[in-house]
Amino acid sequence: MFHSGFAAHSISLERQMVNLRAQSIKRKDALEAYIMVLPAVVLLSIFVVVPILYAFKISLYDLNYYAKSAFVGMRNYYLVLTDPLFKTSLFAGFKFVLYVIPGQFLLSFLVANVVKRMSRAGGFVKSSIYIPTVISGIVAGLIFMFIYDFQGGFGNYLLGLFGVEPLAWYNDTRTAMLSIALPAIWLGFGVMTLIMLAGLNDIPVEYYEAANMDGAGGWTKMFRITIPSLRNVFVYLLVTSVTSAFQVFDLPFLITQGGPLGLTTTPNLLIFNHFRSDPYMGYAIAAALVMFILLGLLSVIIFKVINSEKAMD
Amino acid sequence: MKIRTNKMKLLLLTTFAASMLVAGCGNQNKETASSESPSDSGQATSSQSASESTAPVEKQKLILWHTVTEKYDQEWWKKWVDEYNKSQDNIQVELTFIPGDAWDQKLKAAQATGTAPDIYNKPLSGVAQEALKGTIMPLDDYVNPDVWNDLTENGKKYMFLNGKYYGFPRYIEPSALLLYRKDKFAEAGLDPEKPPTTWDELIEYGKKLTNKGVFGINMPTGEGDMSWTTWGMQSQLNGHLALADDWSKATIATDGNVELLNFFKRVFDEKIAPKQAIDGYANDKPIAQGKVAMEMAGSWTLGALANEFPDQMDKIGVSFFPTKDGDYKKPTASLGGWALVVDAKSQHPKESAEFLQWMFARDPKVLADYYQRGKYSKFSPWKSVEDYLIQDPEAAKAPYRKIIAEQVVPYAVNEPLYPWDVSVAFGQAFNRVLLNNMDPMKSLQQSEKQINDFIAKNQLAGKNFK
Repeated sequence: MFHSGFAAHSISLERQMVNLRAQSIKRKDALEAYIMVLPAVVLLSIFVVVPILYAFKISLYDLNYYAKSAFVGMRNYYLVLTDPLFKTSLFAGFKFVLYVIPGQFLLSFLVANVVKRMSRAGGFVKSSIYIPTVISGIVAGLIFMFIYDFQGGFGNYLLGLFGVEPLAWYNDTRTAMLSIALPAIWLGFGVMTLIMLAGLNDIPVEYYEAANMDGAGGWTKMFRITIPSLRNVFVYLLVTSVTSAFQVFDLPFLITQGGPLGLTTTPNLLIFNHFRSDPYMGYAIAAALVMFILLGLLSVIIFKVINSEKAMD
Repeated sequence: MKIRTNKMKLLLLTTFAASMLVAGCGNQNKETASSESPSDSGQATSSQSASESTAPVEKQKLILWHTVTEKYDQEWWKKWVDEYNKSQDNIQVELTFIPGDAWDQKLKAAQATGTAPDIYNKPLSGVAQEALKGTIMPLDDYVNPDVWNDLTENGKKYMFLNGKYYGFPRYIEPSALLLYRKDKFAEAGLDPEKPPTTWDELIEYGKKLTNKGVFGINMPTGEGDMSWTTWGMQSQLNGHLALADDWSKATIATDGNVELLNFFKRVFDEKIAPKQAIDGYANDKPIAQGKVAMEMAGSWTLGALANEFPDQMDKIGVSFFPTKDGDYKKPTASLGGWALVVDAKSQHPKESAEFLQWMFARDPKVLADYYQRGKYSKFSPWKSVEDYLIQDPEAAKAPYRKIIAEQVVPYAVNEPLYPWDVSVAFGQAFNRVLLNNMDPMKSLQQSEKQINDFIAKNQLAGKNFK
């Protein structure tokens, strides 16, 4: 009896030791994990989290570097949200997104499908469409300004070939938004194409083979296999490209200066103009934080809309 | 074995984290150091002054920031700052040129961290707004009051604000002139010595001069440019600018401004001007290269032409910008320019004022050198310098200086001191007429409402300068 009791005791002791060792290993693993994450957390806190919290704090003041900043509560937010120019800039941002994203998506999807079938030329095409991505917005803007030159620019030369009158590309209410959308599409479609291509390559070949056996045509395969399989890629691309397009600054700053009539003043350009000329920084900070919240909401909406569709499998 | 690997991991990670932090901080320092001298000229200066400052260590350093300007201007600055530094043992001025499009960010960032320069340049009409904000220092305590008596009427109006003097102006120049190509006139059968003086003549000449590849006249386009380049014309047609004297309301919905808008519409409707200004407003290239036969331009365009296209100078004619009836004895241009101001938080206002007086109020030769390098395209806000230039035989030879000095400058108006937003709203009135075909009066009334809203939100009424 003593023997079995001792045995039972020693078994449970062993189990306890195993458990303890497992726990200590877990704790050690957890500790290692925390240490691994520590540099990123520290950097993010110092350069992202703390500044945002500080920004929220100073947005409640009339921030001024030469006199005492007065506490004004929510007045800066009130000024931003009741400013018709702020609302116009949001509208301009949305319009810019509508001009750029559908075109970019379509173009990238088509090119990705074409490149997927290319074997030898594919490598060359993939590198060359990526080149615009490494060009800065300012350089692209300057290149396009040459194209948009009223007299002697390539744009008006092309129009002239069709007998169309020269256009004031960036000084015309009809074409100003287009004049900044074109460089944006050119700059961004390289990355989009490559990501879509990666997504396309991920689709198992068996799906297409099965579809072929069932006698599916090209369009059916496109809409029933390719596009649904790319849903996650689309979500990622939509969220990132919409939020980045909405925040465009360098192109309207350089090409149209936000005109004519404020039609191409995107939100970031508006904030920059206020930063530049306002005596107090309150409006600029409050507007930037409002944009932060808006873009966060936009991303959530995009996620919900795309994910609410029925899952593929 | 396991313990050693763990210790290794820990050591590696801490080293990695530490090096990232050091790299982050280290990069910041390097960035500020290199961004202090972005242009080649800037670097040459700071290395030069660095070698000079290794000598007497007691020299008080003054930081001077200046926007990037024409080459001849930068050379003038470098020369005279060096002269000043050599001429005395107390103060060492460090000059940095900063590109205009990076200016606001750099200055604001410096102001935020309390490292703003001691002295920097500011457009004449912008000095008033800085004085309102309290970002620049009134200089009366550090400057002999006699100095200010040397300012011309225009110069004084820009610098003497609410009872105090706020800066040293460097030059004034008219913002709107008519430049034209005499050879193109002759080709079109027009008298090269008889530029158009009335609006009707301007349009008639423009039509004769517009051919394949050549436009009659390069006009300002874009609401920003159209608003400030027409300050002279606005004053000419209304007797006042966009705001009432006490800044309580907008005063732009006038018959005079309707005439102005209609004039611009006529010019563009007759297709004598490109709908998008070629190379922007008052650029010397379009007229030098013969892409346009006439140009609405500022007097700095002449300085640029003389320096960049000297062999074209004999083909260029200058006149006042046409008025409705051809009479030039009324405002056709506004007088703009730049001044040097001292930052309100500067630790060395006395030394800064000393330096500025040495540069601008001691010897007229210093500023005159600048005007000479600009081929006499600029004018002086200091009476003594103006007198000095009258003696200069080269100035008398500059063909256009006489015309501008007689026909434009005496009648020109100062730029307004109200915030830029008001002018942009006025500029938008132009665009609504030109691009959207709106009725001019309706367009002006819409801009008036915009401006009145701005005045209310920013409590501008009564903030005008006395």
